[in-house]
Amino acid sequence: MSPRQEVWVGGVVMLLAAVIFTQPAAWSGSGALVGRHFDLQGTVWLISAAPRFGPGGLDLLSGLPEGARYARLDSWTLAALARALSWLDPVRVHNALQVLGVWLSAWAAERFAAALGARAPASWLAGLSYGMSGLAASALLEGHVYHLLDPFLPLCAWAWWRASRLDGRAIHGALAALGFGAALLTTAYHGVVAAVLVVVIGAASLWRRELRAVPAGVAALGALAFGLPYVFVFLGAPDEVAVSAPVPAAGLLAFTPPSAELDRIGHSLSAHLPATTLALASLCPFLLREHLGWRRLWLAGAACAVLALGPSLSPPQGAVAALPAAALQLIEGGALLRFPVRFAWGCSLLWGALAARAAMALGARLPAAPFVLIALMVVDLGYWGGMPGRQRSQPAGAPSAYAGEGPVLDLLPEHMGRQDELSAQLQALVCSYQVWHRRPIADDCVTPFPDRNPRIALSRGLVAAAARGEGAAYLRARGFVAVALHPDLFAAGDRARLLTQLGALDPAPAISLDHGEKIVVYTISSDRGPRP
Amino acid sequence: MSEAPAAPPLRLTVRLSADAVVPGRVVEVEAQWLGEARRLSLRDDGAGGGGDLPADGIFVGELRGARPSLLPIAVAVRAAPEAEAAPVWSGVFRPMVEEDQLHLRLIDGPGGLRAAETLAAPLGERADAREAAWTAAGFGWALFVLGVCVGLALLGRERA
Repeated sequence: MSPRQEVWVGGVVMLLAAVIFTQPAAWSGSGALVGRHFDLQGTVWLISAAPRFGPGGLDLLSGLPEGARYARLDSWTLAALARALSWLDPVRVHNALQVLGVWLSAWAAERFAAALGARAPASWLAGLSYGMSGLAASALLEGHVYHLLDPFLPLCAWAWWRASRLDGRAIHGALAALGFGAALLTTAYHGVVAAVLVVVIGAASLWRRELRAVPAGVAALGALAFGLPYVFVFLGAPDEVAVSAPVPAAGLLAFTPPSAELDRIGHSLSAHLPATTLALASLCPFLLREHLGWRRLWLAGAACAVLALGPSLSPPQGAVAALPAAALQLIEGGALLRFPVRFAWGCSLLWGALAARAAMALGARLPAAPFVLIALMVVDLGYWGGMPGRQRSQPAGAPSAYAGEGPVLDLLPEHMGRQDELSAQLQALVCSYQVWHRRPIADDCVTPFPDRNPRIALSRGLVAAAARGEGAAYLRARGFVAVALHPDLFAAGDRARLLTQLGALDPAPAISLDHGEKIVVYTISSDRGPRP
Repeated sequence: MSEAPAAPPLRLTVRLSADAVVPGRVVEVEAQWLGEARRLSLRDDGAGGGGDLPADGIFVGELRGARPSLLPIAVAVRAAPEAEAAPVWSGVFRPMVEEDQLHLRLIDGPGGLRAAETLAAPLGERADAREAAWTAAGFGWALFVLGVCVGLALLGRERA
């Protein structure tokens, strides 16, 4: 194959691999949400809602009565894509982005490996390692599709690797800055990973006195142009997030194959690195001895691996050792990086690319070697990584009782026990319903803190008002025309009380049992009092 | 508003394990399932379904129906069939798959009986042992792959 043919063949192979890895996303269309955990519902809500956001992220259809301001989004790239694709069904967009994200990221990594000298089929190992890593699987299952939209990290790594060599040019510095900025806008984690790559590769280049002023200066200026506005917007957002819980300690087990229990109770969060990637990366000192510049890439990957272990290591005896990631907690906003395991995106990319280059070195002597290694990688991803067998689908839609117009207040219980994620689950559920019923709601669909969700205070007020027989006036005063009761979630006594008290608002409420939940929607008739 | 698709089915197995076998103990489950209160007595006589074994201290029962998004469940224990029911656990279960499981462990502490949710535990096997075996096998696989790579490198060197 000619190098030009390799580009397109690599693209087709990565597309096929992405379709298999993400299945059934490619053919689920708009009928099913593909993913496993409840953040998936929030992401689909964001895809649905982002096109209507006003200046400063203001959304007047959620967070009622005042509206919610989503200035601190996880992914500006996803918001921009959602706006561009607003004519498509949001579930279809989400499912398509799963495939496209994995494909583009894998293809970009494959091209990065090709730039390092790996030729097909050895270069495919890089695409499989990065685009279909344990973190990619986590993003699919958790519903964080924007983490997959990242061909920008490979672009940044390649461009900065070129810029930091003696033959580096200004265009390489500019492309590195572009890759960094785009990664940052895709998710802050990718931006920080890109920064780590830039620092380690740049330091190694300085050490060898290869870093030239022009490409480095262009890269620095470009990075500042992206980074400074981002930091100002992010840290200056009015809804500053308070982070109280400590960042959890990690361990080497984060890199091992994910288990069924991790899917059940651990949000599927795993940085599983394919054994093939690890084995080849560990043999780089022998296989790539004469290859220019592999050490700095290897070191940058190692730095990401160490950071992925988190701020501390907790052996069974309880002793805690501080790790480099602890330093991140000391900088402004560093505490927001609550999932340091995501630094492993960096090592899956860099070690994956080096693994591909090492496989190429093996293939030069033993032509069958790359094929053997690809077969091992397939076992790594399919059996040990468990994809696509870990994917799940959820029916898409909202209970039919929501049919109607005007703002609706969802009435749900507050959790009092140890099910500390229940509030977030309920919030995701209610917000996902809005994708289909399209009525204004009280929930702030992004805040992770129940006490900052307007629905909670409104619900308390409504329950108290309904007990006094003033439920309708309470709702009218706040602009709501209906209340959606989720009766199954309440304790029996509360349920009976609410059904009785809310029955005074609407003697013939809409009741539905479809879409997985019983919903009773009480609509206030307009002739029972003046609107505010 | 979209057409409601046929609700996927759910077979939920509820297991409550106790360290000691107490003769006459009754375990009751109440689930609020799509607007309907469903009650179920968990069995430890081999007839509870879901792999129930007689008198092993693990009470088992099954609930079936259209899959709800969230399923509030309460569990109570009676020391004897006529004794007063003591609530030991309540929570909201989120079914994930068609055949899902809720595992609870009964704890007899200073404050009386209570139950805590535990990890999946196939009968006769501890979950952490299963986890450890999987992880150990993963390390074994990694060593095997490393061996293959080293072998390929050595073979290539011989041919060079």
